[in-house]
This record gives sequence, structure tokens and C-alpha cells, in this order.
Amino acid sequence: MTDLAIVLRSLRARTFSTAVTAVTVAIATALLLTLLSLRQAGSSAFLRGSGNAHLLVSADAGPLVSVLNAIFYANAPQRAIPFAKFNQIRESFPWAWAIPMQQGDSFRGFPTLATSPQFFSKFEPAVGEPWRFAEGRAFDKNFEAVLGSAVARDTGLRVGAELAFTHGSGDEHGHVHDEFAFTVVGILEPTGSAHDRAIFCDLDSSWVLHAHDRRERDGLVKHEHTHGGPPATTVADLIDDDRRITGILLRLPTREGSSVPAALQQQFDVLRRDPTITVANPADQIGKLLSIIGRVDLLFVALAVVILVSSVISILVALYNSMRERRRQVAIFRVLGASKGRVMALVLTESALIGLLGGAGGILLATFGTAVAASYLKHEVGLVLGFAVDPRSAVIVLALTVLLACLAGILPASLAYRTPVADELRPTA
Amino acid sequence: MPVTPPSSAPALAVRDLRFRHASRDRSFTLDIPSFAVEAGESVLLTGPSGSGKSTLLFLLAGLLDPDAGTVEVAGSNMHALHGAARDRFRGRHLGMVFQTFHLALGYTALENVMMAILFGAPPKERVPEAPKARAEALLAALEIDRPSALVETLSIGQQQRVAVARALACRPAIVLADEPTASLDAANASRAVELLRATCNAEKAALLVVSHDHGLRPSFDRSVDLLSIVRNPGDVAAASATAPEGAPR
Repeated sequence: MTDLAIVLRSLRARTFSTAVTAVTVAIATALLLTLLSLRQAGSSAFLRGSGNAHLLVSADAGPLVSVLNAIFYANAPQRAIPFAKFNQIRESFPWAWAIPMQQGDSFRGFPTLATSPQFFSKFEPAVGEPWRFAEGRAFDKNFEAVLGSAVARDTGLRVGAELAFTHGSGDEHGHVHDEFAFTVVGILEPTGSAHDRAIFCDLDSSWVLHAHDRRERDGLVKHEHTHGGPPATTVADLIDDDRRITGILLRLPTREGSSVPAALQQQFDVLRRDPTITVANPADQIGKLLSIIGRVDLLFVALAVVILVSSVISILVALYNSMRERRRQVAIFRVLGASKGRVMALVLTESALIGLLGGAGGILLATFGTAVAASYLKHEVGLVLGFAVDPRSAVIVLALTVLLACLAGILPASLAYRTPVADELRPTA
Repeated sequence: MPVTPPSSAPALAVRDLRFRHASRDRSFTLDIPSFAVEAGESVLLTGPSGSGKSTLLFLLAGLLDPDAGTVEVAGSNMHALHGAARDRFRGRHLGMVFQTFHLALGYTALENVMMAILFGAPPKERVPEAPKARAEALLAALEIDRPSALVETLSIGQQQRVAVARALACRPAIVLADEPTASLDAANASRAVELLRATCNAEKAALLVVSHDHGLRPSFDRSVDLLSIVRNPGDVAAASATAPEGAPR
């Protein structure tokens, strides 16, 4: 028999109280851990989307707005860049690649992104994670469309289906270009970025839609909503003014011996001299955004810590309430030769063990809970969150819980320490 | 006849012990010039209720501090030790049996005896056996048929035997017993006391039983009246006369 066995027996003798207290601590620990991992997952989700692009050029009002629009599809960009500007920028520096993007249309509320085939071959939505097709392939002809994973899931569209874009971002505004049908040729795997909610096509096809609107306004073609027959506007009808884009993704060459940060800053400064465009470093902008969000969600973490502290106070209450009946036991231990310090240590150990039990249960609960939540988010919301309990925060939270439990044990332990042995054991009725 | 003492020092020696006994309605001073229990000897200390018998036992066990005087157990001055050292000394050299047994509830009979060895931590030369073996042997000798049962599930008689086994676990110099038969009828009382005395004898421990029951006298080597060893029997008798029955203070 050891001191630990004495404590374990004592815990088991009060199974109900021990279990209730441990569960209270477990729930609080799980809440804290879940919030911590949610916080990390949220941050890393924001870091997805701009992927391996170094710079974003747009005509938006500011760099943060341009990143929110181009990478997170927050709104359709308001101002366009002539395609000639894209060519000029592309030729101004030996970029690893330069990818034009044109946004502004939608399908059933899902934004479209017209771009070059390099968007799928060179750009990676998350660094080191290139695009993968769940079905089909990338577009290689006009009026072919590729669906983000969330679009395919929510609309039920498969490879081979036809769809028509809406001018503008909503179903109610703008009009449906139903004279131009796009054929779905590919469906992407989830990437955990906002691109999962986008539909991709080539630039020419998107420009044709807008050229058709222009020609309609100019009276060159009639407004028609009839299917069948060749479309009244084709790629051959495009004029330079139709060729507009809303954003350019740029990547610097990464060669041995050349410093990307230095070249990045240099090109950033060069591009910024052009007053017609806005240059953004997506990683910087997302960092700024996270520092704003970070302060808010720190509040949630603080709240969870408060909940953990109050749950640990339940250990104090449980032990304190049991001390009345345990004073006799403490007196017996003293008669048998246990010192005041030892009976105090026994109670502290008991408190720490409840904390350990609750903390371990909380880690299990949080691990199971985040796995369920991540699976739900992936399948129902299309959000791929790297949503798992981080072992390092689990260890820290467990240590914190045990430490708090020890603190909570101090008051009951000091009651044990001060138990008047002779008074407890007198044969009074 | 006392059995052969394990050491030449008396198991218990009290000299000029003074303790002011105070409670709400009365107070008196327990004042014992000299009292001793030889090694291996069994002594019955009788006295009326309220005469301070329990208080005396707590003083002897070092659970209360006297105002003056010394208590030597196996040759060592109990009250010269402080804190953890005194607790450890008590656990090793003194066994205690209480009127209501004071077993640790929620623990088995075996665990109750083993925890005495855990807390008392007797030196290897005194208890060379493994704690579990020692506890099992004691419980078997005392005819505990369910050593692995929780003590609260045992009969009163069995509980008392567990209390005796626990008191003897560390092979103490002396066992102090406070009214060990108060919850038993006369026939069972003398049987229980005989068991206590015989077990202490077998374990070579001295025994001091305090009781108001003079009928237990035949079982002991010696019987002493508390009033005969105090310096102020009048005060003690007067105090005990006002004590309500069942609340000996």
C-alpha cells in the first residue's frame, strides 16, 4: 500500500462526487482546447488561398480590400485593369509566372473566376499543395468550366453538366447569360480555401459575355434568350476594350542564391509607382487581418480560461464539503503516524488527480469533438480546417489544469493540516 | 506475570504530568506525579466517567501537549519530539484502540492494517515481513474471515478485531485502548478484552486499557484506579461527578 493507493481509494469512495467534478473539469478543458485549436485552424485557413503567389495587383481601392476580393471572393472587384497592363507588367520583370484573373460574374451566388490555364498548372492555393481534380480536368477550350469542390457539392452539378453565368454577383441583380452555356469539364478536390466556392473558366469566354452586353447596348445584336443556334457574339468579336481583368497574381523566381524578400520589396516598390494599380503582398495583408481578429478571439480564449478556473473551483467545493466527514479519517491517519504535512499532501494529491483526470478527459473530449466538427465542416460546409488538438497546447492545458487543481486543493488541504486530532477522536456521543 | 520484556525500559513512564482540563461548564487539573507500565505488562486503568481518562490517553499518545511533566514511551520522551517526528514516533511505538474503533471507512480490513505500517514506517528489524504479509498474518491470527471486505461491511466484533490488528501492526511497545468494550455486553466484553490482552501478549506489546468497568480486572496483570495516581483525587472526583453520562470529558 502506498500514499497514492490511499488517495485512489479515497477518490473511489466518493465515486459520484469525483466523477461529477472530473466531468466538470473535462468539459471546461475541452472547451479551452477546442477554442485554441479553432483559433489555430482559423488562422491557418486564412493563410490558405493566396498560396504560392507573392504579389497581387488589382485596381481596387486598397491592398486589404484587393486581397479580400481576389483571394476570399468577398465582393466583385469594382474596377478593372486593361489586359494590356497585364502584358506590360508580365514583361517588366522575369516573373516565375503571372496569372491574370477576372472576377465579377456568378452562378447561383457562387463567384466565377476567369483566368489562364496556368492558374491550375502553376498556382497552388496553399503552398506545397497544388490543385487536384476529383473529377475531369482543367479547361482547355472556350466555354468550359471547372467547379470548386463546394460548388459541385452544393449544386450537385457533375462533369458534363451545362450552366450559364449571371452578370453580377447575385441571382437577383444582373441578368443570366443563358445564351452562353458553359460545360463542366472538371471538379476540384477541396483545398480549404475560398477557391472551393468558385467556378473557373478561361478569360476569352468571360470576355465574350461582356462583349455581348456591349454589342447589345450598341444595337449590334438583339437581346435574346433563346437556346439553340450559334451565339450572336464570339471570340472573333472581342475588341481590346473587352479584354479587362480585375487582378494579377505574381510569383517571383526562386533561384538558388537570390533573396526573395529583397526582390519582393524591390518589385513591390516598382509596381507601386504606377498610380493606376494597387499592389498587395497577400501574406502581409492577411497578417494584418489576423492581428485584428487575433485580439478578438483572444477574448474567447480568456473566457475559456475563466470557465476552466471556475470548474476547478468545483474541485475545491467538492473537497471542502467532504472535509467535514474526512476530518475523522485525517485524525486516524495522524494517530497511525502520518504527519500534518503528509495528510495535507494526500488531499493536494487528490485534488491534483481530479484535475489530471478531468484534464485527460477534456483532451479526449476535445480530440473526439474536433474530429467530429472537422468532419462535419468538411462534408456539410466544405470548410477544410486543420482542426485537431495540437499536442503542445494539450500538454500546456493539462499542466495548467493540474496546477489550478493543486491551487484549489490548498484550502481543503490546510483544513486537513489543522485537524485537531484529539477532538476528532473523543468518544463523544 | 508480565512476559519477558523486549527491552529494559518501561513501555510507558509518566512523571509529574500536569494538564489543565477545561471545558464550558467545568475545569480541573489532571496531575499525575508518577505512573508506569512495564514492558509487556497489561494494566487496567479505571476511573469514573469524566475523570479525564480519554484526555490522559491523548496526552500519552502525544496528541495533546501537557502543561508540565514528561511521558516516556519505550524510553523516549514523547513530548520532546515535535511535528512529523512525533507523529512518526507515535505510529511506530504506540498502538491505539478506540471505543468506536475509528477504522478508516472505505478501505478494506487489510488496507486498514497496511496503512498503519505505511504511516508508521517501522524499521526493518522490527517488522521484517512485507507489509501485506504482516497484515494478513495479524488478521488471520485474529480470525478475520474477510480481510478484503470494506471494514464498514464487517460485524462490530470483526471491526474490533481489525482495530486490534491495526494497533499491533508496527509491533509497538504499548497499545493504548480507550473503553474498548463500551459497545459490547458483559460476556462479549470480557471475551474481547481477553483477545486484546492475549494478542498484545503474543506480539510482546504492553497494554494499557482505560475503562470505567471494574469487571474487566481479572484479565489484567494489574489494575490501577485513576484517583489513586493523581495528586488531587478530590478535584478529579468532583469534576467527574458533574459530568453527564456518555460524554466523558
